[in-house]
Amino acid sequence: MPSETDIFEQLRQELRRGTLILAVLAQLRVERYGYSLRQALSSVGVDIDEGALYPMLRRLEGQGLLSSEWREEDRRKKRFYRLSSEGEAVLARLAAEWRSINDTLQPLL
Amino acid sequence: MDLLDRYLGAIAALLPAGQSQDIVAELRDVLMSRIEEREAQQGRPLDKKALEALFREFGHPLAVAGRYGAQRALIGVELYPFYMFAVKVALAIALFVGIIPAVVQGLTGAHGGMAGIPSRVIHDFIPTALQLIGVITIIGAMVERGWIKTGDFGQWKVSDLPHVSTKKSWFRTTRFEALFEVIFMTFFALWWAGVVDFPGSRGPFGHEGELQVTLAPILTQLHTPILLLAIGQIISGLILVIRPAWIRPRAAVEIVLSIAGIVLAYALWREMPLVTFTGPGASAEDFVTLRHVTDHSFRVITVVAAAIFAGKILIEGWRLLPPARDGSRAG
Repeated sequence: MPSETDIFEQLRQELRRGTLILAVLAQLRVERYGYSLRQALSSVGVDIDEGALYPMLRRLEGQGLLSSEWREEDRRKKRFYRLSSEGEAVLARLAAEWRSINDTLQPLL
Repeated sequence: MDLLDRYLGAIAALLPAGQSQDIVAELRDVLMSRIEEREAQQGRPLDKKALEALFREFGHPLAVAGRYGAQRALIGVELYPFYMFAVKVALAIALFVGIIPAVVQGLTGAHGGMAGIPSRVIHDFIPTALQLIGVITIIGAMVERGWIKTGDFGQWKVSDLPHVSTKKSWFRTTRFEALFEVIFMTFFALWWAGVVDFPGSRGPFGHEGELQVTLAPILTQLHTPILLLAIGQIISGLILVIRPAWIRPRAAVEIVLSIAGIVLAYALWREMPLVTFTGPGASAEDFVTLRHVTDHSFRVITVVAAAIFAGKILIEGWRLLPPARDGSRAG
């Protein structure tokens, strides 16, 4: 039988899953490489596991929402990601959806 | 950086060939950044133990590489209920296949007789169940990945589902009963066609110095009709399992099969006895008694079978009639 903490943690993960994509897309309005993206997210209180972040970036790029390119910085090759024009449109719609959900849930909570 | 190369090499070996180099190059940068960050925190280069801890924290190569796969589940949440239903059916089949041979062997005294039944059930059930579940899992994984197309399976209609009646019916066959019938008749048809051996058939019979069973010529003559009747019964059962709403087509099939069954029962009745026993191990009086018992049993079975077939003709004929206004015929 899972404990209350386990149940809460599982539900929290489910709740966060969609919002992480939203946060990543929002942060990539500015060009960043993976590690700096993670730090940027962490600085605003969004912690994301690297194991989940990098595959997510590739999936989003595969969906055409991000573009990327390899560049050298600090004597190392880094992959820089940025929101594509399609990504910007999807982000705008997702942000509107998020606000709508928030407005709906707020009075209930 | 031997540890880093080994770690990334293990991940690279598990990645799709086309993306491997690109992903590993990115992961190298990520890990190098992490190492540098930690070295800055500690004010000294990381030793082997600290590096090991850092890579363990990052994740096992299997887990890291697995996250880049398009498919994260063997059987997805959409398919899972169907998969579990198939597994339950497989377990029922395995149990059936395990029980019947064991009971037959128990009755015929083979493999330890009645006392050997539990061990025979376990012996037959476990490998059969594991094989069936394995096949179902492979098929499920192939469906999940789109390698097997499910066609119009998603286009199911409520009208294809079985009718629900509030009245209790003594003559309605449930889908589970039909499935049981399909399994049993398939097993019988395979044995009758000589595809599989009937468990225990090599037990007390047929060996030199043991009891010999001789079948009547009528059973050889009626071999094909009996096989066709069994196949027809399988088809009828499958109609109820797959298309439970096809009440009338199934009723028509059942009537045809029942008429054929009565004809077969009559043909067998006329040619009694169906089996004779010989063997050096018993007296002539014993054989007469055994033959009398089996003969009587076959006569009873034949009459009961004919009565069941006749009853089926009446019940299924009633189902073929146009439904009453209140829909009471449906079922």
